[in-house]
Amino acid sequence: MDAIMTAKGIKRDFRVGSEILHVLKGVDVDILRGKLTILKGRSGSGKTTLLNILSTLDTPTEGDVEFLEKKYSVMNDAQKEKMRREELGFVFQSIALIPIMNAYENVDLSLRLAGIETDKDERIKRVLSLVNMQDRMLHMPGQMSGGEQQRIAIARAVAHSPKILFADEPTGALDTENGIKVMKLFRHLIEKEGVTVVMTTHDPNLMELGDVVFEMEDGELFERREN
Amino acid sequence: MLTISVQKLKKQKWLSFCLILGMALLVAVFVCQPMFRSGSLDKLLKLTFEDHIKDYNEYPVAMFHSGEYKMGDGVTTENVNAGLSKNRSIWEKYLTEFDKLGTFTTFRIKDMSGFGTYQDKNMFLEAVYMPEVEDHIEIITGTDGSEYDGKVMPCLISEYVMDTRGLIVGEEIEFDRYYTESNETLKLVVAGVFKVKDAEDPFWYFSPYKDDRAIYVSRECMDKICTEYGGRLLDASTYMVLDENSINSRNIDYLIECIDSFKAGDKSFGITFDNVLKMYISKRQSINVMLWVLEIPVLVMLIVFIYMVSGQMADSLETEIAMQRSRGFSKRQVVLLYTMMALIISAFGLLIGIPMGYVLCKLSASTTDFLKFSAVDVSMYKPVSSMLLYGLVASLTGIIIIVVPIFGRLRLSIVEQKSDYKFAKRMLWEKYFVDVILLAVSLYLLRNYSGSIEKLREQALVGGKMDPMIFINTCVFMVAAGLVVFRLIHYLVLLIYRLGRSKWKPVSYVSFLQITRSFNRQCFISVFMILTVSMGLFDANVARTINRNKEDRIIYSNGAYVIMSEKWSFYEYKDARREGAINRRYFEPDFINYQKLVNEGLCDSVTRVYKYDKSMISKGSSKMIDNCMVLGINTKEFGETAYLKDELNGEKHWFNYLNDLSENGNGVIISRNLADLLTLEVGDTLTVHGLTLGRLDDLKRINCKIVDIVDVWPGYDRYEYTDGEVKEKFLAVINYATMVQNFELAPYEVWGSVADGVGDEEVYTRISELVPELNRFDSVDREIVDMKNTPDIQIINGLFTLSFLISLVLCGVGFLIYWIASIQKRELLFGVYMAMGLSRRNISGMLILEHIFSTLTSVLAGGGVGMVATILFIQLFCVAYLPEKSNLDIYVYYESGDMIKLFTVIALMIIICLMVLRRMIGNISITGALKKGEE
Repeated sequence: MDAIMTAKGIKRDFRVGSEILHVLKGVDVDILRGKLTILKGRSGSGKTTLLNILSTLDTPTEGDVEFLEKKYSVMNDAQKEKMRREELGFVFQSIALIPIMNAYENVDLSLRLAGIETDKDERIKRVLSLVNMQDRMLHMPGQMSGGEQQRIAIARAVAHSPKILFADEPTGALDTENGIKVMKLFRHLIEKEGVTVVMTTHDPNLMELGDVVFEMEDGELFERREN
Repeated sequence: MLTISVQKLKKQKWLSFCLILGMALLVAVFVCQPMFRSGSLDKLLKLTFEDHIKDYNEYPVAMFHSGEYKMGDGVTTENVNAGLSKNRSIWEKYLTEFDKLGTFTTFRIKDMSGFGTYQDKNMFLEAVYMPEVEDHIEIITGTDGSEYDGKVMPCLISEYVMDTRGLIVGEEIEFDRYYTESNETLKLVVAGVFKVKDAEDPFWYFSPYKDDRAIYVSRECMDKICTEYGGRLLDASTYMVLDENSINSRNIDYLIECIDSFKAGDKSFGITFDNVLKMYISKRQSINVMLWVLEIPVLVMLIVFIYMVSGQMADSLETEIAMQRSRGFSKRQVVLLYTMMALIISAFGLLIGIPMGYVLCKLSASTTDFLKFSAVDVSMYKPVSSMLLYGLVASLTGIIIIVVPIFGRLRLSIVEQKSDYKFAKRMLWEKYFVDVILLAVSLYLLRNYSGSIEKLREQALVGGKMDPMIFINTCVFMVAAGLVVFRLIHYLVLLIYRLGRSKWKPVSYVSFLQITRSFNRQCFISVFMILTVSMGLFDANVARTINRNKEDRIIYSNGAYVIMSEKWSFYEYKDARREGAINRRYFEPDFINYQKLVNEGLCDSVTRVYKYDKSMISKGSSKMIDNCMVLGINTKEFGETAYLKDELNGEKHWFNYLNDLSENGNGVIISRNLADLLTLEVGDTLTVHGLTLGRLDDLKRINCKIVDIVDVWPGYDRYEYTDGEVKEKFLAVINYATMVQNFELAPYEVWGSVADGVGDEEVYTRISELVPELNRFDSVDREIVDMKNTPDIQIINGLFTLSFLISLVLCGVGFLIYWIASIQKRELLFGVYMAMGLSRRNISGMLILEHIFSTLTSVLAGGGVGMVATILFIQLFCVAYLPEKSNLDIYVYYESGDMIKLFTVIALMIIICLMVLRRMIGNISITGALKKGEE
């Protein structure tokens, strides 16, 4: 299978007072193109830290990540920011829609960030209908439920056609029904848009829906499973 | 609950600090009020007494019982004296808290016509008996008059009577209208001449050196004159002199109350300081109003500030309040918790505010101009007990303002709070155009007040209470204009955003949306900034305008920087031209003494000004116009010495008028009002009439040809005020030589222009050495210092300075806390932006853009509103503080320095804010921010 991203020997230490906390202890992962990869583990297992490193939001203490033949270790902040704007998409557990913008504008922002100017309106409407939120596009985040907001967040994350979509506990703030809907949406996006999805979760019920599952424990990769 | 409150305050330490600061300032401004009022009133009282002393040269506070007594039938001076003493003892009983300087009693038989042995002329004298007079005099010649042989009564006279009446020791005076039953006329012999032991002795409240009729006799003689010589009617009065320094603003009401009750019980009771009390009471009322009115804008600013900060605190505690509500806290419990927090803040505010108010009061009292502090005596400004009460009222007000924003958040449960969105909501004032309505109301009121400006002027002149609404309306205008401008800024930003909506880069896109969507959140800080900047600027402009205009008027009224005159010697003679008339011939003192001031470099120039203050003018046979000031001037010297603002007489420089006069010996320059009244034009002739000893003299007249008509002239005030009544005054300026030729030489004034770098005191010292008896030295500097020392000007300078400084502090602190709190609240958002690929630089740019469109526009709008308010309202303010009409129009003074100070503080705050921003943004970790969002 073709790996879009590979990470080798990833270590991440945090200093807590005088102690050094080894959160990741040398992890190797490969992310397969067009697949839904799930990083699974209990709280504190290091899955979010790994996801942050893979998505350039954090820098490893040791090890490197290679994405489309570019090594993070040789990239500066500006290059990483550009990459995040154009090639990566993010969905957070905290939903994190921009509260001063309506659904349409939230999606619009990600297109502006990626520098996409052609057929913007059409594109926004298309992604909103992809998440089945085309009727709510002028609503403010405060006027929507958590599940609806998360769908808008996903639409925003995929509007600029990123190569990879990173989602940190995207169902964490949702009930089971809405959680399942979000997972179905990911599958739908993979099939329709050809996007690669990497997500973290601690919910065992969602494992079945992933193509590749990395199980983490205490900062180490415990198991790699392909469904 | 106390522990939880303290923890919550600790958690919000910056906001808590700001609230304590706001509360302390609120308490300080409140407690400053009674202290400042009491000090100002004490000062007013002191100055009014000082004026009384200057005008009358007597102890200012005396009360008396005075009446006419019919003597004989058992009524003697002794029992009258006993009765009078009884009166005094009643006063003393009630007035113990006032220091008594002394008492005296006088018995007097008025208008006794008598002939002296050595003089053939009739003299009007008055026999006076003053108990204990012997203790207060020193015999300089003759005896003390105690040896009475039962025939010729001895009497004592003062040095003054000796000089003016030509009486000498041993001279007998016969009063032929006073005689015994056996037709023996009353004869008094001058036994001795005395001088007073101490001229400052209150016993000599009526100085014997001003009384040329009094001849002092013993009690025995006085009784005899009354009973045996037919001097039946006797004027008797007893006086008690009090120390004016023991009267202050706190006990004066008691004094007035006592005086009223003494008057009610005794028709012959009177006081010598009725004018002082009248003046004090009328000014007291206006001072009270003025203090409140000038403090209102500061109080409004402070209340808005506290409300804004407590709103910020409530915002940041919103989640906690919602959590508490969801965990089963009742509304009452939540309110109690926040009331406890408010109580803690107010306790700190009270502790800091009271001493701060004391310091602010002293500081305000030491101002001698706007933002100018001098080492003046502020000992009169003492703490008063009511300060504590004012402090408590301020605290209570503060507590209410702090707790109010919590009520709006009580309804939210955690779920509602999370889903609450406020961005699309329009504020009530915006929705219903309250700002536009308020602005219209304020402009309507302004129009009404401006229409009745003359009425207001009259009211202010008689010390009447000014309608506080005039001043409150200024605040209303600034708030309303601030809101309108903010609305317009909002529309403008919306327009800019919409015009380029599809083109905006992410940073501008986010910024514009942030500004337009958080309109109601930003409203408070923006309006607050507009309000503080505009009020600060308005205060500065009003204070500068009032001060400078008052100074201008003093300089203008004086005509030159110093005006001097000395005592001229003269002799009187019978005027052969008119029967029975007395005339005076004056001897001109050495003018070279004044020229020495120029030679010694103290003055640039000096000039003689021959001045008739109240002369008459006529045109042909038309009626006389009185109340005309006639000036005789040496044109060249006058031009070099007198001062007149260049632009005041229109396009023609006033030197040209002097030239016109110098070219025409019999020329006259007249004032415009005189020309209008007598329908005179340039080229017409008129007659200037001269005076002799203050009376119109038919023989002194000059026919003059009008060479110019002027609106203003150095030393000429068109409006003359007496007891609040205005009277038109006219002007005629003629050549000095012409005036002397026609009117004879009379004492003139010497006007001087003080050299640069020389103080008026130096000129005074030197001229006092040079001339034998200087009787006038008026200096513009002295008058300005005196003017600055008056309580109303001190209140204006003190409170406007205070208000300006507080607006600076609030502007700076308010701005900082708003931005810091707003950034702290948006940390998650910044994390999301950064995760989406925005750099830290982009985020800084975003915030700078927000600053430009909210803070900068607010500051500029504040400047604009402040200037517009100045232009619109200054005339009304000046009517209150400069009610007297003048030839000089009110000139609005702006000092760029004030604006620079204000904007420097704001710029400094923006720089600090940007530094804080940079640090905060630099410290934002994307993962940390996102983590916070999850929590």
